Amino acid sequence: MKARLLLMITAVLSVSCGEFLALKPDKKMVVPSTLQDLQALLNNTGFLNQSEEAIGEMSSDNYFLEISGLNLLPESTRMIYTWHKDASSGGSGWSSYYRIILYANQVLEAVDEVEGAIIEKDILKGKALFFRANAYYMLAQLFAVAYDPTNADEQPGLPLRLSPGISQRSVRATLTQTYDQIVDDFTESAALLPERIFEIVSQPNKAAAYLGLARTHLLMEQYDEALRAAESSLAIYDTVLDYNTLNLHDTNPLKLMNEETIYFSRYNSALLLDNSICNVDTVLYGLYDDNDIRKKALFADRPNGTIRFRGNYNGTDSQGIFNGMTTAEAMLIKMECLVRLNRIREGEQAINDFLRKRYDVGEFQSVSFGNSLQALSYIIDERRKELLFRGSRWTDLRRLNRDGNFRKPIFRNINSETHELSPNDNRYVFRIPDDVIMATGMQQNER
Amino acid sequence: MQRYFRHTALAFLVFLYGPTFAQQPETIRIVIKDGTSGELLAKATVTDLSTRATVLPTGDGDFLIHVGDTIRKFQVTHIGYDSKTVRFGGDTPSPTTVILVPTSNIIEEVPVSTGYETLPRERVTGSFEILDSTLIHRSAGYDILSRLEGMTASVLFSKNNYDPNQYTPRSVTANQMRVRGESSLFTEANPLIILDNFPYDGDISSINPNDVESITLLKDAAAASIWGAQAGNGVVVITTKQGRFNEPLRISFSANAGTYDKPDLFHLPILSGAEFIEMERILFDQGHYNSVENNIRRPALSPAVELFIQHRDGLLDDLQLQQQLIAMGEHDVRQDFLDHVYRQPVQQQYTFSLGGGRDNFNFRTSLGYDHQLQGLQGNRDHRLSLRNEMAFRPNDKLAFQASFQYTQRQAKTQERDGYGQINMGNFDLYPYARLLNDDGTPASIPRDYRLGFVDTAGAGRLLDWHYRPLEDVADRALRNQDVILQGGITYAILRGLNLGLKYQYQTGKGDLRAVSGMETYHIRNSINRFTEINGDHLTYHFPFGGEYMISNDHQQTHNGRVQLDFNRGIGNHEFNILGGFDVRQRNINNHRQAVYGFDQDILIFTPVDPTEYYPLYGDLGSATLLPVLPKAFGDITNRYVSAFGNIGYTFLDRYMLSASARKDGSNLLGVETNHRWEPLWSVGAAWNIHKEPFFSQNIIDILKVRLTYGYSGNIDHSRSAHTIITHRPLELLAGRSFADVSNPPDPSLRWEKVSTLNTGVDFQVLQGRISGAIEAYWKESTDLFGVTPMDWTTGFRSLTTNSANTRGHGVDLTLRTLNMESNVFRWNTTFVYSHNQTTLIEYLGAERTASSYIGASTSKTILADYPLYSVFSYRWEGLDPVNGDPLGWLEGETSNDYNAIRRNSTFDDLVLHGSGIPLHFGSLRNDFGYGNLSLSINFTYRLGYFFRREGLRYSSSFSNYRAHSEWQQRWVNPGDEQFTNVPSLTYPASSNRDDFYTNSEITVEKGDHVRLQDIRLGYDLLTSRLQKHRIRGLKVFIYASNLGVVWRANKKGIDPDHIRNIPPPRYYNLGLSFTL
Repeated sequence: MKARLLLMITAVLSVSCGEFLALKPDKKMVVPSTLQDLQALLNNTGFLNQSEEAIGEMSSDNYFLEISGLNLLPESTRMIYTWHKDASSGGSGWSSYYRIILYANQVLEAVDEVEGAIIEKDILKGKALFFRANAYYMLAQLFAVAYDPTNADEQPGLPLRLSPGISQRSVRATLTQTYDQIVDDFTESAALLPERIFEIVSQPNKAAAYLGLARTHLLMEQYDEALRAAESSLAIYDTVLDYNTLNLHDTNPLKLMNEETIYFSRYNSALLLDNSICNVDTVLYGLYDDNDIRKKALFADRPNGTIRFRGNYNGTDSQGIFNGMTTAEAMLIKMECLVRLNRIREGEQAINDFLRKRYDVGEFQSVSFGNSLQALSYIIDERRKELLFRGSRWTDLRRLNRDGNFRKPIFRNINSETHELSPNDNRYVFRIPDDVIMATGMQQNER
Repeated sequence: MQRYFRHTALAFLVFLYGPTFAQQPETIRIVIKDGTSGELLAKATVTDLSTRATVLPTGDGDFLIHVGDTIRKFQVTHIGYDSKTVRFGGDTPSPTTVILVPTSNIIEEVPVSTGYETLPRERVTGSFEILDSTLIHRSAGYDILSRLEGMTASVLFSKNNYDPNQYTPRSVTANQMRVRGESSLFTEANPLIILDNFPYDGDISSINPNDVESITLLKDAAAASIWGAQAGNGVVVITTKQGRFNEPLRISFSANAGTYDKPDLFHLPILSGAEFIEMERILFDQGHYNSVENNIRRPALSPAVELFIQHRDGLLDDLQLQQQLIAMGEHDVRQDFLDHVYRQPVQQQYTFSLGGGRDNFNFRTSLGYDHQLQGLQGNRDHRLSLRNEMAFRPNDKLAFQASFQYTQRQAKTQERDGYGQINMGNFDLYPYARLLNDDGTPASIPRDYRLGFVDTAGAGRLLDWHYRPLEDVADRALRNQDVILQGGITYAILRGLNLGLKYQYQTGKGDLRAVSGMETYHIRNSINRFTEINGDHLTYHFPFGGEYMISNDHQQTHNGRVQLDFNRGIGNHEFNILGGFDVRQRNINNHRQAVYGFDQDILIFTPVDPTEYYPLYGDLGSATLLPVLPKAFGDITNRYVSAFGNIGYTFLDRYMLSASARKDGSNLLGVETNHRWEPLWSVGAAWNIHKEPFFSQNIIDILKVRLTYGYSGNIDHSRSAHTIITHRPLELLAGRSFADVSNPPDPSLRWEKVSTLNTGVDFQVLQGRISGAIEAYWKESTDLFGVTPMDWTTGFRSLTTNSANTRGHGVDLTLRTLNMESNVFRWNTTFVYSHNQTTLIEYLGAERTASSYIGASTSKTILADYPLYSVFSYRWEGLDPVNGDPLGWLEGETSNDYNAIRRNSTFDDLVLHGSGIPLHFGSLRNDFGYGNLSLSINFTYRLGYFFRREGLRYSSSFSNYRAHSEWQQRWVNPGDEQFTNVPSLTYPASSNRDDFYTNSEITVEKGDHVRLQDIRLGYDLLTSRLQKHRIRGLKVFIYASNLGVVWRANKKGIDPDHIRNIPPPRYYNLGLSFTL
């Protein structure tokens, strides 16, 4: 009798203990179990949209510094400017992009476990795949060599992490595998995301997924696919901002999330690109016609005559620069592919349609080209003029270095000293952070 | 037997009666009297020390002793009095009076209190340190834990907590204490604080030290494992003063007043004004300020640079420039701060208490009041504490106990910028800044913009844009209230078997309100920045009025306990058994909110849109959001369920065995219930050798050996076996709430476990002339949580995981000697020594490049096979005689490729100095008594370690104005390398070069030093005349602490405890206590 009573008391105690200890310690912390939880992860714009690594842009030829400005900067930053062999971002690029990949993988893993409508789950999957593809794309521009279809099978690519677990060892896949993964993810993302237009442009959407795919195919020299993807993107949304509508007296005429932005992301603040010291490359500035509104909207004079950039699609000078996606970029990819596929007339048409939005009303003279090289040169210049300080210049330098017509060395002059980055130099690839190499033993990049 | 132990343990006074009379009676009558009242002591006992036989009394305090020709030693004892050893021979007069002195003014034996039970010291097997009332009240001051410093073995305090700009009084907190080294790497490494019976969750400042009777430190597993999973880092049990049964009403009052010196701002090694201007001139000539000058946002420039600009532009001639610079450079802003911002803090402390008891009832009530004028002018705070204890035993089966504590702390302060808190843009304040103009009006400092801009911006249509530190004062009110209610019932079921129920409720509320009025720079600057001027029309996007911030936190803890005790001797067997359950819930919730446009008088405010971009005045920048107003809510609940048991068994008073076990459960997130429980246990044995019949001799009074082994543990509530995400409020870009992945799935999550093997010997020889304890211990911590550097490819740079095992060992020694003793003079010495070293033996995290283990000497070295605090440096090869470059070592040769040295150095290329924390530390205290005068001087020492001093870094000198005074010794000309190790100036600065120099072996010094911890001088004013007026005590004292370093190994005059900070200034206190 007594034993039974004791048993009962023990049983009651242990059950109530279990309940007592089941309470969540911190109300803000949860095991992700609803679609809202997963969407909240993808709402983390601080990590997913606003901490991209600008070292590629910092290594490009859109700008120069005066020596007094350069001397203000930390040594590690000065090393980036001069393409020093040990220049690095201190690892922030690697870790911030793989953090995006973790968030994406987390959502992809959990989404099938939680309750919810298939359509809602597909949207979350599509968004997560976009974030993952885009992060791998950005990483590949920094930590892998430029894509060359003839040897991409032998070149080391990125470690491909496709699940959120931390126990799996990181091994570099080949460059082919890497780009295949990017293409697959963008493709699947575009398929899963619905037609309807964006809720907010910090969230991935179908048009952005197609544009990501177009970017990828373009640098893989798969122009048919790139064209198809760019056109798919434009079919969903093709509004281009008419620069004639801008208020040029505004400190920043271009605004955050303006109507041609289809995906918003921005770089971390970068000292080299800081508005107080960063001067626009004079050759680049010289490319603009006087009746090109961009010459006024994107730039401002300093008291000492140097030109600073004010065309950040972030709408401000005080944060890292915009490196997201615009319909204009889709247009530019479309025209380049058309020309490369020898559809020159269609390419001209696309150029003319686009540039009318950039020139003073009625001032733009339609272009026509004698041959595709001429057309291509024009478009490459247009890309530079349109996508400056967006990060795409670095990718363009890398891919164009493979083309004898467009390859060129770039230079930094510091007093009498000249630094040169020649085409296809090892320094077009950054070193993987030493700590990652130490932890994984993966192959380091020669630089 | 216990009484016997007490006799000898307390026999510090040896009183000798010399033979004076020739008469030789066989029997002597002895009368035992109280030393103060002269009353007969009815319950005194007299023991013949040669036979160990107890002399039977013939009356109250009256004995007849048979003596022969020989002189024989007797011991006279009485509870509550110092025992005395007296010699009686045939020539001793009869009757002879033996006076016993109450024990209150010497070290009293305090029983060991674990929070679950109280045991006599001789019966315990575990390792304890006890600070009794005398030692606690030897020092003075606001807080309780600081009183442990330099008083007990095994506790090492980290000392960098002095901040001259604090708003509230300094209390040493548990996380500054390390008991026997580090048992956790990352989770809270602080010891568990127990107040009376339960873990204390409130602010440690809410405990008034005057209410504390004793502090027991539980050091080993046998002592601490009763607290289970929270005890891995040691346990500090604070026992408050209680009422006593059968004690007449006792009223005491004490008061003391203390003061600190002003902070020693000149301690910091920075450049003088003139040297600093020299540096600015070098930078100016290099064009360092060109881009700032051209920057349309007009970042602030220092007055010297403004002069250089004027000179360059022809507005000043050479002579004028020179004169103005010289005048400027003579000024030192630190003097301005000392004269106009700081003052000597003054503390006052008053305590009144009342206590007493009858047969079945006792109580104690105390009231404390502390008032402090803080070191920053205009700041004051006070603390009111009320404590009430009651015990009631209606019959011998039932006892009730209840206590109530209320503490209120209030600080009304003026938030103002102290030294080190004023910046000029991204720069530190230039050292020649002025807080006052020559005419005595508050001076303006360029804070965000150049003074020329601030003077003229808006042509008079904006608010005054100057920043004048002396006028810039915001209001701040902090109010904390803590309440503890405790109640307990004990029921004696059988003889020796008691059932106890205890419950405690603790609640604490903190309420902070801060108002920055319209007149503060912060608000004026925001209003001006967001003012849009269109012709005659001004638009203010930032609301007029102040900023008001309110922050509340509320903490509630419920503790419940059911406990069964069995304490009984059966024949030669003595049992002390207890077992029971603890339930505990702690909830903390907080919220914080702020508004703009606040009007204090009518409580109105202006709502703002946090997502709207507003243009900035002039060219100050792009349109931007208003500064974010803090808003936050938090709600955290931790729950614990524990079952515990403890068995103590003593045989023949000589052989002790102990065993304890505890199982803890906790509401860890995402862990299956059965993993939430963790069993921890300990076993121990002790042997009182001196009680063995074979050990009968006269030299050794006490000899006891102890041995224990067991486990305690630790858990981090933020970790989980599943993926955990944390929801966050509004994200401004998307305008939505969002979430972070705060924890990846960690299926191998385990509790940290600490096993401790402890051996100890307690001894006392020569009737208490020498006593002490020596202990050795070995600790093994497994599955320690560590911030583990991860493969970044996982998406985490680092994670807290069960990643490390450590092994530590150490020695604790306490030695007390009575050096001299006579009727009027007494000299005691207490020597405390601790040794501890902890080594990481296994580490699961990724190893990093060798150079990443170089750093501040006080940071942990997470590297397998190395002590937890190892100081590594780059090898130093001197300065290059050609250009003054620092030279290092790489791949077998001298190198100045600092980047390569950083990246490619192997451990063989580095220098390992040794430990970064003291391997040996302790104190030496001498207590002198002369009549009514007592003097106590305590030295503390820390030995066997290294520290990295600061060195000159050109990069931070140039980019932040953080310039080290080594500037004067820098290499300038070839040959200088003979005299200096400070590298030459290069422009632009190379941070790699600076990193190399400041992390080279040349910047490491031996840390060994001896410090004069404190001095206390006391005087007992109690006279027999006062006693006739029923006054039981009247004492005064002077106390001084932080008296400085008396010896140090380093030749540079650096205080190794305060390498980067201002050392805490000297503290003086004067007090009196009065007892009726």
